[in-house]
Amino acid sequence: MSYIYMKILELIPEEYDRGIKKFAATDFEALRDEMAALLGPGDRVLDVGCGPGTFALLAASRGARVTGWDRNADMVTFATGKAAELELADNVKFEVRDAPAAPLEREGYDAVVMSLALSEMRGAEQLATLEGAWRTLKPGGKLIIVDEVPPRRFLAKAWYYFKRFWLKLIVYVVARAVTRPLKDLPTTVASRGFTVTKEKYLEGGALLYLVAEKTETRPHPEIAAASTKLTFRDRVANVASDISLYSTFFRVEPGLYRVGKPGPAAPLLVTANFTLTFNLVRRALAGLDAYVLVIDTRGINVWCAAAGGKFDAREVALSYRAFRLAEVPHREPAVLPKLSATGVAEYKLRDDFGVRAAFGPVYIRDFGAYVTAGYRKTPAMNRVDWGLAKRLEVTWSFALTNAAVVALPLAVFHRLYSPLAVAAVAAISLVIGALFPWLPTRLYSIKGLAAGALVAIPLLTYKWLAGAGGSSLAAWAVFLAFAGILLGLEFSGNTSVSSPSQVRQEFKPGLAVLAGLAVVFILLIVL
Amino acid sequence: MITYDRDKCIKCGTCADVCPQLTIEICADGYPAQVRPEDCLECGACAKNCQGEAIRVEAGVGCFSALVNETLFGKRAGCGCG
Repeated sequence: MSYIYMKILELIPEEYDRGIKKFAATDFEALRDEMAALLGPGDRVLDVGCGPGTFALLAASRGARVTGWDRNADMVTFATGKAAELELADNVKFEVRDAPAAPLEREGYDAVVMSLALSEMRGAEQLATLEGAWRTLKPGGKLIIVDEVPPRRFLAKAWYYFKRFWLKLIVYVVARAVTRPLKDLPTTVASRGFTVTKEKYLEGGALLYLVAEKTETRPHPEIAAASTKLTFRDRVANVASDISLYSTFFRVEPGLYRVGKPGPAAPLLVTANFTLTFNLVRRALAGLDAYVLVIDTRGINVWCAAAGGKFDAREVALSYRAFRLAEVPHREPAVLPKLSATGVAEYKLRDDFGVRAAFGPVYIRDFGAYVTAGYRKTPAMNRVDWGLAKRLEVTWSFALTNAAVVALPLAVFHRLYSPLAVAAVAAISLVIGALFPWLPTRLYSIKGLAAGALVAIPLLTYKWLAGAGGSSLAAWAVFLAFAGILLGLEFSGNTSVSSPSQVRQEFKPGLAVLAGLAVVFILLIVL
Repeated sequence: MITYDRDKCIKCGTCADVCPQLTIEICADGYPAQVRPEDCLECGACAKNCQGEAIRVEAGVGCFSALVNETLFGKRAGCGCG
C-alpha cells in the first residue's frame, strides 16, 4: 500500500529505503534475505527497476553477478556509487534502461527480479516487461516479483481503496505520477510462460511476493477476433467519442487483433486505441484478412497521439514485444498510419528496436487498394483530404459543441437568453466548415468573420422586420462578429491543415479585436 | 519554421513520403525541395524521420485552443488532445 510513496521517495534516492520502511509493516530485510537465498553463487541476475540498488548489492555481496536497470538516472548514479563504496563493482553494474523496450540478451540470466517495478507501468508496458523477462531468462530461470496488488478480501479491499485514494492524490500532487496495483498478477505471470511456484501475501494482502519458473513451452500469442461490422452500440460509441473533447472513456484494449483469417502473408496494420479510430479501421477492413496491432495511445487518435508523443517508436516497439509479434508470421513491413509520422521515427524503429515498418495511406479507406498495389501509394492516398465530406465530418460535432457551450451561460444570464443566439453560433460553425476553402484569406479570424457576416444577413433582416431598434441591431451585429472571429480561430484545431506559426500570428491581434468587440457589446447592452 | 542542411542530407527521400501535405518533392539530383511552403503544417514528420538530422522544424499543433491553454497554464498545457 505505502508503496505509492515510493514515487515521492524516488526524487531522493538516499531516503528511498528508509522512507519505504517507515510506511510499511513488512520486514523488508527478511524478505530480501529470502529472495537472495533463491540465487546460487555465480548466478546472473537482472534487477528490473533496481532503485537505489539495495537488493542488487545484497545479491552481489553473496556472490551473484547482478545487472541493475532503472529508468531514473539519479537512482543509477546513487547505486553505482554505493557499489564502489562496498567494493562490489566487479559483481554488479547499474544502467539506465527502459525495461519494456530495452534490447535484451537472449537466455542470458538465471533470475530476473522486479520489485515494485511493474506497478509503475501501464498494462502494455507490464506485459512487455514480463515478455522481456521470459526471453532473457535461461531455461528454467527464476522470475521473482514483489509488487503492489489489490487485496482479495472484501473488507481489506474497501479499506485499501479508501486509503489509496488519499495517498494517490498526495503523490500525484508532489511527484506527478501514479502507480497501479496489479490485478490478477499470478494469472498474468502464468499466461506469459511461467509456472508460479510461490505466492505470499504481505501488508494485509496488498503486497505480493511471487516466485515463478520459466517454462519452455507456452501457448501461442493471443489474437482477438475483431468484427468488421459495427453494432448499434458501436455506432452510439462512435458518435459519443466524436463529440467528447476528452477521450478517456473511449479506449480499446491494446493488443493484437485479426480480421478475417490472416495467414503468414497477411498485412499487419498498427493503429491507436481510440474507440472511434478502431471502429473505423475494422469496418474498413471488411473482406480483407489482416492483423491489427492496437497500441496504447491512451484513447487518443493517431494524429493527436503522434503530435503528443504517445504514438512513437517506443510504444510500437514495446507493443511488438508485449503481444509477441515475433511469433506471429505476417507480411513485412508493418503498415503504420501515415499520420503517425509526426511521432514515429521509422528508422529508429528499425535500428533501435528491429521492427520493420512503412508509412501507409493517410486514410484507412485506402488500405485495401494500398495492399493490392504492393504497398505503393497513389498521391491521393498520401495526402490529407480536406474536401467537403471530410470537413463536414468534423464540422457537425464542432457546431454541436459550440452551441452547447453558448447555451449554458446564456441560460444563466437569462436576460440575454436567446435560442436565436445559440442557433446563430451553430450556423456560423457550420458555415465555416462547409464553405472553408471559399471564405476569404488564409486567416481563420477573417474566415470566421465572413461566416458571421453571412449569418448576419438573414438574422438582422429578421430582427429588423420584427421591429428591433437600432441599438439592438448593433448589439446583434457585434455579437455575430465576435462569435465569427472566435469560432474561426477555434476551428483551427479542428482542421488538419493549420500550422502553428499561422495560428500564432493571428493569436494576439485576434484576442485584441475580440476584447474590443466584447467591450462594445457590453456598452450597447447596458446603455 | 523549417530549416534544411543540405550537407547532412543522405538523400533517403523519407521526408517526401511522410509529409501529409506533399510539400516536399525529390529533385532529379536526389535532394528534397520544399514546394508550396504555404501549405506546410509544421507538423515535424519530416524532421522526426530524417536520419541525417538535416531537417529541423519548430514543430507544434496549429490549434487556437492549445495556444490559449499555453498562455494561461504554461508551455506544456497543450490542447488537451495529446
